[in-house]
Amino acid sequence: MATNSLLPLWVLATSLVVAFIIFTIPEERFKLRSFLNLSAAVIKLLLVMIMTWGVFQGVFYETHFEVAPGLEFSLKADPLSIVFAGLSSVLWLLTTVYAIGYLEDSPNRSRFFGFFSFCVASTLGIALAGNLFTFLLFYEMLTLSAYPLVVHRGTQAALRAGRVYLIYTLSGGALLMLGVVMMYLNYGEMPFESGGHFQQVDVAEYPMLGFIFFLLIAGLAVKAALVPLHGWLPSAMVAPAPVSALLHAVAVVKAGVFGIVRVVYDIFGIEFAYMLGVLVPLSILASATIVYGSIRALYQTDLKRRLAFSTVSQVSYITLGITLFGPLGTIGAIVHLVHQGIMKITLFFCAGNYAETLGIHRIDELDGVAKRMPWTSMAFTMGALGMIGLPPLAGFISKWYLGLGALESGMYWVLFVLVMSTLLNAAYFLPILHRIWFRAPHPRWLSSQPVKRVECSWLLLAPPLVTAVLILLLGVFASWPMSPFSWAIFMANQEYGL
Amino acid sequence: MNSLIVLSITLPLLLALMALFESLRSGLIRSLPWAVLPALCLALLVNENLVISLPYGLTGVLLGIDETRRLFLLLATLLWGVAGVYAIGYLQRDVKQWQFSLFWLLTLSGNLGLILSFDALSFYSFFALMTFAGYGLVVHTGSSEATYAGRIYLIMAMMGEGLLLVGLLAAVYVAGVNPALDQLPLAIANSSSPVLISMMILLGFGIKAGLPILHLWLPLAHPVAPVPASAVLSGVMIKAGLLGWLIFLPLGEMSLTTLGILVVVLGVVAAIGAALIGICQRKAKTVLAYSSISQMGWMTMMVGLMLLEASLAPILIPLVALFALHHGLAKGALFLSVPMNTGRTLSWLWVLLPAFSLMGLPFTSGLLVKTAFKRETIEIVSQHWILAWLPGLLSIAAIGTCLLMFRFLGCLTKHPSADSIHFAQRGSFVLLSLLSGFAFLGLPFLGASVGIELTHEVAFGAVFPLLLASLLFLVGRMLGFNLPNIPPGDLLIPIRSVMSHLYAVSNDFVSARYEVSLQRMTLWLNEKKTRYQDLVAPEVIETAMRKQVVWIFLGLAVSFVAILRF
Amino acid sequence: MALLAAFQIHHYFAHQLDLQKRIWWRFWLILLGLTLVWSAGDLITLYVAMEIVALGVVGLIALGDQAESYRSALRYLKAVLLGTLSFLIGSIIIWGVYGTVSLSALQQQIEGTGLTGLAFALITVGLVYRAALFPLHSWLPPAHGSSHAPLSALLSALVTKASFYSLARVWLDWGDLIGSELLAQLLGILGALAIVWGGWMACRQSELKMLVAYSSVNQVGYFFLFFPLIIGVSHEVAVLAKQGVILQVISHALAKAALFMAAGNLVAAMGSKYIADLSGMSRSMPLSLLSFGFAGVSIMGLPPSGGFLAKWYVLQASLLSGQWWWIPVLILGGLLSAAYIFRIFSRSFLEECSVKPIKPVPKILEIAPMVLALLAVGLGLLASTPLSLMTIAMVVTDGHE
Repeated sequence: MATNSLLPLWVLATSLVVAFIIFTIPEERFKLRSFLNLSAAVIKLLLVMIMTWGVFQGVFYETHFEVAPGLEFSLKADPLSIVFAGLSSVLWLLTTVYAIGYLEDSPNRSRFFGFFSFCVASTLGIALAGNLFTFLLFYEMLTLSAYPLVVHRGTQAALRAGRVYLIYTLSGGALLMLGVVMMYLNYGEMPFESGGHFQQVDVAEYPMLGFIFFLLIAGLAVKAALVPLHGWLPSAMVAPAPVSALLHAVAVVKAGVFGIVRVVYDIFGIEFAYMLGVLVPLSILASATIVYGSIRALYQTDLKRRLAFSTVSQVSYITLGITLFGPLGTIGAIVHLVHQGIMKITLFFCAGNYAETLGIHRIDELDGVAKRMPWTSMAFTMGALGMIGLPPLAGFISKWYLGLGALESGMYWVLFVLVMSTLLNAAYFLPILHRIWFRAPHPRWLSSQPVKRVECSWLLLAPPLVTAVLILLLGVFASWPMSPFSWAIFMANQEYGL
Repeated sequence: MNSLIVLSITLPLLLALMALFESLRSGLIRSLPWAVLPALCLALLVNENLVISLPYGLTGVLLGIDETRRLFLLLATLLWGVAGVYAIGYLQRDVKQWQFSLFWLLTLSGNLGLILSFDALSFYSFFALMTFAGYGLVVHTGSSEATYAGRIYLIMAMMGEGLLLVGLLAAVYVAGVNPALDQLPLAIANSSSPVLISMMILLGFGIKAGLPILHLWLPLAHPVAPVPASAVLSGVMIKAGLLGWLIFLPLGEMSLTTLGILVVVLGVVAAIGAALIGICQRKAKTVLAYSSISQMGWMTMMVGLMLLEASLAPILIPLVALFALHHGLAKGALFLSVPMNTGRTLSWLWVLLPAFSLMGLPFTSGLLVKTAFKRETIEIVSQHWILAWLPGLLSIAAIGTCLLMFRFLGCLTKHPSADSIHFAQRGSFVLLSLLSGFAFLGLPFLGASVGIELTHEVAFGAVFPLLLASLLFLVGRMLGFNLPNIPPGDLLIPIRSVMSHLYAVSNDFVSARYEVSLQRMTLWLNEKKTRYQDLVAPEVIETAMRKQVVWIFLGLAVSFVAILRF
Repeated sequence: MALLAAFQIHHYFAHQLDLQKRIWWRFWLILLGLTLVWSAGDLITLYVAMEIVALGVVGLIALGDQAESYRSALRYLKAVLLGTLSFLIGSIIIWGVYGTVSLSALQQQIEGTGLTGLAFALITVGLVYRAALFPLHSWLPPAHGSSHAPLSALLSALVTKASFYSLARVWLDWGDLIGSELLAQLLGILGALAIVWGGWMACRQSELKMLVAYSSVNQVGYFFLFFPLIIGVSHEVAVLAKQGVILQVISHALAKAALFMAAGNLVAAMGSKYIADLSGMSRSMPLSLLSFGFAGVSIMGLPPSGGFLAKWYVLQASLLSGQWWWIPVLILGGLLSAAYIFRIFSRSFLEECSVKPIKPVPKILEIAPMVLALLAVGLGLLASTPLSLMTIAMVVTDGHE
């Protein structure tokens, strides 16, 4: 029992402790730092795997203590947190590998990796948070620990992006906090429980609950980059590639969406939220974001900026799925939470590779780059096609279930949004793929043939390849019992009491 | 058996993996004919219908084979196999041949996979694989035409994917999550909006099958690909849309009168319209592409009739499959013939064989299917007065087909002759040409299976359009009638100009407004800024406060007292 | 607190021994005064204690090496005298009316007559002045900004608290009887203005320590939100408000001390007091900046710090009492604090500049701010201990009543 109750804490501690140790390591101790980072990532992954197995077997993991009267700090592992924790620990390992390769010979690495670990610890905290208060705690911790990563380059542009990021996220955080305070004040302790807390609540309370819902979602929507609160995300892409990858795929954006999932499913309960009538406005907002993000992405000439707007659009799929009342929509949302992360991280890894190896930042510089970097290009292609949602890749599975969810909930217009978004996604990804594979290569690439056998450092190449393979496998073998898809079904059944 | 089904799909994929290794790339093209071998065995040797289940794949994959699929599989394997042999010769000097082979294998796998799929998701997956890998075949030459055609191909394909997504979602949803494909038609028929769902499916697959207006990509993309790729594009891949219709539409489950008539009309428009536009073309391969649209129009008519009258489905479904087989082989052979012009008489024989078959002359498979089709229409025409014109139009369409063939042969004579032709190319072409004319040998027993005998009447009916077409052709020749020059992609040109005009106008509009509002905003901000700077800075206030501290102090005290007294 | 400050002072002035000697007696003087304040039972003792503190403080401020520190010391002296004078007059009036200055004795006797009201107002204004509430805060920034960093830490962390503590005691005891809701609201509004004005001014400062000093003005404003939330409201709200303010006081003390010490280290390292010269410091002084950051977390009121919990309680209290107008103030205040804290960071992360040589600062100086900052942050997670202590105290007082 002792280990069971401490396991969530250990999962957090692996990166938190490492963060503090790394801060004290001198800049030059490259090997020691890499070793620490990697071993922490591996240990964390193992712990999360143990926990996954445990949860699958029905073991209950919980750590909690009282912070102040009426306030409880609580970490626990339920299927939903396992989904997010699993995603972050897997992607963290990959991103760590990538970041070690990416930041070779660049300054301030101790600081970077320290905050990097912090960031992941916060993400894991968000995943494992057992109540609204603990969630808020880690949510804000994430806001702060991501800032040094965003401004890591220290250029004027980076600092400006950092400022924008802070203005958005801190304001959002304030709203969220207000919502949480009101929630605690009126309804007491708020542990996350599937089905929510408001099955039997008086109609007179509805306006109040609606207002609290609005506050919570408005706070979370900033990180989830819902229009019109998405402005920080595209500007934050000045960060180094591993950071963008983490930001877009796992940490910040996902934290927001994950929060929305928690609030809708485990605080309000989907059925109550449906009765409250808050789902439809949210789904309209999400749809608007999906379309708007895609349209903006179409007009970007910078590769990472285009990817950033694509994130704005894609992440809202998850929100959209949550708002579709019915198990199928839930499955779609949860699966997309994982799949989008893996696809987007692949794309950012690849964009980073292009930038790092050949200095490519703009899309029109990508002509024929596949001749020079075929493996990276392959991974990029996989990610892009997955994003469009082409079967049988990972992105398709989630899109398919979102579509079914839309039909189930009778919100037929969502289908239109999905199709529109598919077309727009194709419109901004396929031209890139055409450039990469079918245009005549830039003479510069051919003259700079790689010195080594592979096109770029292994540390940079391996992570996107792994995730690219994952995109394929998660799609093709979606029904494998331990796949995210099966988990999502498991969870949806729980949420709807099937 | 089970592993044979899986192997049929995966073997091309495994071979495609060879492209990852540089040392294996050069030999890749030689593997193309072998890739279809398991599927060919499956089509020829396995007579039972079977379905296997792979529960871990997608949301539960079902693969299998039945009668309709067997005919399609036969077509696919024959054409892909023969064209694969042809490709070895055709691309022998191409430096990018491994790239071509890679896309070839992927497309092949998609095509075989979709034929063998028994669940919606894997069908859709393989359909997408075929479509997108096919892009690589279309743009292979890298010419500007190919790139342009590729773009249009992709745009239309994406639209198709989108429509299909909605259609399939709806179809699958009404049948319960992840049903087997054979339950779908019934479920759609029982759903609340069968017409809507059917329409989505019709449109979604219609892009691949070249329905009128949705066909725009086809005359562009099919001709620009390398010859063997054109052959499979026009011969087999175009049939994927047809197969989709046969599998997903509620054929035989319910009669949808309005939709059926609409589809028949679309088919007629395609059959005749494509022929009219096709004879105005200048290039042999483009003529063939239009001929494909025209022939698909025939098949569309059949599908329309089945929608119109559920009872026709049991007869027409095998017939459509047979039509597809016939057209696929003939069209494939014709495409392969395009670069074979060496000026020798014998080679003309091999070209004429499939051409005659397409025209439906006696002793060909064309005669078989067309006669059978006409016979079925007579009955339905009597029931629906609105279709009374159908037999007449069918004859016109048949004349159109003949004219198209004349045009094609005409273009072929002007086609620059190849200096040398690889034996693999020649051999495969002859083989396919023979296959396409297989009705010479097979008519007695195949004909019996669909109830057609070669009577004088039938023979006359078959030769009549040819005679009329020859007459028209000769008259036109004598009068020196000049055909208008319609560029390939016909309607695309006006659509594009309208679109670009609209885009320009809207862009002007938006950017003008944007500029103005931006300017205004900047002005406003600047004004605010100067006004703000004129204001006293906070530091000044701070100093003033410091100086007036006693007064503030007293003021506060007094106001406190005042409040207390209040 | 004091222990760490002493530690810091010791090392900060390690090279100026004679100066150190002069500091110590003042330091102990202040400590003595503070202890007296915490334990004072009547108004006069309170007065005397505050004078003692003031004396020590003036001495400390004057120790700064420039002429400016003399000026600010004088200004501080003026403020203190004015404030305590007002307090003294108030106390004398009370004494004249009731014949006693014992707080507990007065609690039973006092009633809302005009004269008492005047006395109450004078005491309040005097203490408000000493606690540097807007608009009577103007003595604070120069005083804190110009003295030595560890001393500023001490001043900011403890000395303003003394006045606030006295004010809170007076109000807690008599507030219900002679205070009025309107007055409490006025104090709250002044607090709110302080939050906004202090935050805004902090954002505009060009000197590092002045920024931190204005941050004090901003933070002191939070304390005064306490008054509208204990007067004329339900018991529940008052408990929440008390919890919030206690936490705010503790965490502000810890965090602000950490800020000043870290700022002192930074100033010493870069050899310039301007924020603009901070660029590139994140490489050379990571530890100090990190403590600055941790302390900043508490100042901004972000979790898991003590400042966050304090804000949490105050938010709850204002919601529960229906005084929703404090909410935007709290949110705006948090954002303003974030704005000025991150000004430092965004400057220090800047890489596009020539790296200036820095004067190395002994590692040992970086420890104390780190410990303080970590305490401030950890307070949020370990708040149940101080809070339960306080609850016991409250139970005792309530029982006493």
